[in-house]
Amino acid sequence: MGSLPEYSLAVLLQNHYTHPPDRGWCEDSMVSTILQFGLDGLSGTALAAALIGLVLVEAIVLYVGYGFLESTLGKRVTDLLRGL
Amino acid sequence: MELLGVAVELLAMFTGFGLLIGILFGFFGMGGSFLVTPALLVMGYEPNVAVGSGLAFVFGTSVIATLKHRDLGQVDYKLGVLMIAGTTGGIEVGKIGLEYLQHIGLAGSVVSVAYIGLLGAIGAFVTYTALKGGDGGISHDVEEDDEGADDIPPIAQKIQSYNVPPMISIRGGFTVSLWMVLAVAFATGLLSGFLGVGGGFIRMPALFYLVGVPVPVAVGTDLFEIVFSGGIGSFLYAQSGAVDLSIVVPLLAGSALGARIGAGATNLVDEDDIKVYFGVMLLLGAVAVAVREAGNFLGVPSLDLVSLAIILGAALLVSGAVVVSSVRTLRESSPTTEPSTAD
Repeated sequence: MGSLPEYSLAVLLQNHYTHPPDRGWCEDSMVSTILQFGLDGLSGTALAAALIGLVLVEAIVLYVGYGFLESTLGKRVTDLLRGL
Repeated sequence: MELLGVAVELLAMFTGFGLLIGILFGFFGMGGSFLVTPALLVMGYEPNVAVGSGLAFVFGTSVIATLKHRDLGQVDYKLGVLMIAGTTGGIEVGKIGLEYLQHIGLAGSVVSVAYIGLLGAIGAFVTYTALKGGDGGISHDVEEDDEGADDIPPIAQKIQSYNVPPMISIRGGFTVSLWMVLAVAFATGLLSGFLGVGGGFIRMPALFYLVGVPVPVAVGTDLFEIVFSGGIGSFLYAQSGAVDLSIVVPLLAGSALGARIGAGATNLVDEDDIKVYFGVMLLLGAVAVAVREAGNFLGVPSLDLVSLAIILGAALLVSGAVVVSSVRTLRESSPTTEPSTAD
């Protein structure tokens, strides 16, 4: 049976279900990151919800934060780029 | 020096990389996992971590880019929901085709050739039509009053002419049969499922060349769809802890700024320039994948690095061109004729 290229998302998703995750040398870094964010007691769906929730919260905070910067500094930066 | 247990140099590198990808993602509505996953793989991360973290990053960036495009009035939610429905069905059928090819042992070679061929063909077509100018172009302006029939590509005009009820109105001031939208979505999902890729590079051109959606709305609506596909994909990986926040958090910090710049640039950069940049990105992407496949076939691992260098070089080149074009447009426009957004 021919193997698929490693960029194939379908195959990686399939492997995700058929093989336990092997995180190799990254495992220590991930565990420490999870500990840093206080997610060490979670697993499975709760861990996934917490991780994705954190990413969503970060995205919204960044959107609002950069939006604030844009509204306060945007015109000045635009004028600067125009050479005014 | 470390921050949250991660070396500051690594955080800075990821933030800079995120900025680069954010510009491309906000500008084209594609390019996230296309760039992040190969880079993480070359850096030595395990495939599930590379894909899981890449998907989580794509999810976060698409949220930011979609919100920005929404502010600019460039997201058609109705079209987005229809695209999600059609694409999901197409992906399922595409996966069946992929499984059949795996069964007969041809999946690897067929998918590789099809992926390279599709990237190259779309890239060549988009670049050719943009360089040719005139016909096939779509107005960059999303204001409904400004959209004329002459601005809609011939294939899209043909698709819009099929009057099969129910007809739905699309942002840009035209109507199209719901079934036609679902058919286009299904076809793009089919290719996406067959190739096992996110499909932004297929959906975005399909929206403007086949449905006739103005380019910025095609980008915004594509990003809206990626919020859901990226969210579901990263959730599945996160269940086994394969989403590494030390990668995602700094990448997202950089891309949040980049996505604002990229989304704002769609209102500044000329329509045909967008298409040329998009086409060049895809053509170089096809070359990069071909080099990588050649490396795998010949057993030359160093070609993986060459492939990554081509992808990163293309990303740097195209995002730089987007920024330079935007600044040039800003300099040429007087303050009284300022575009609606100028990030």
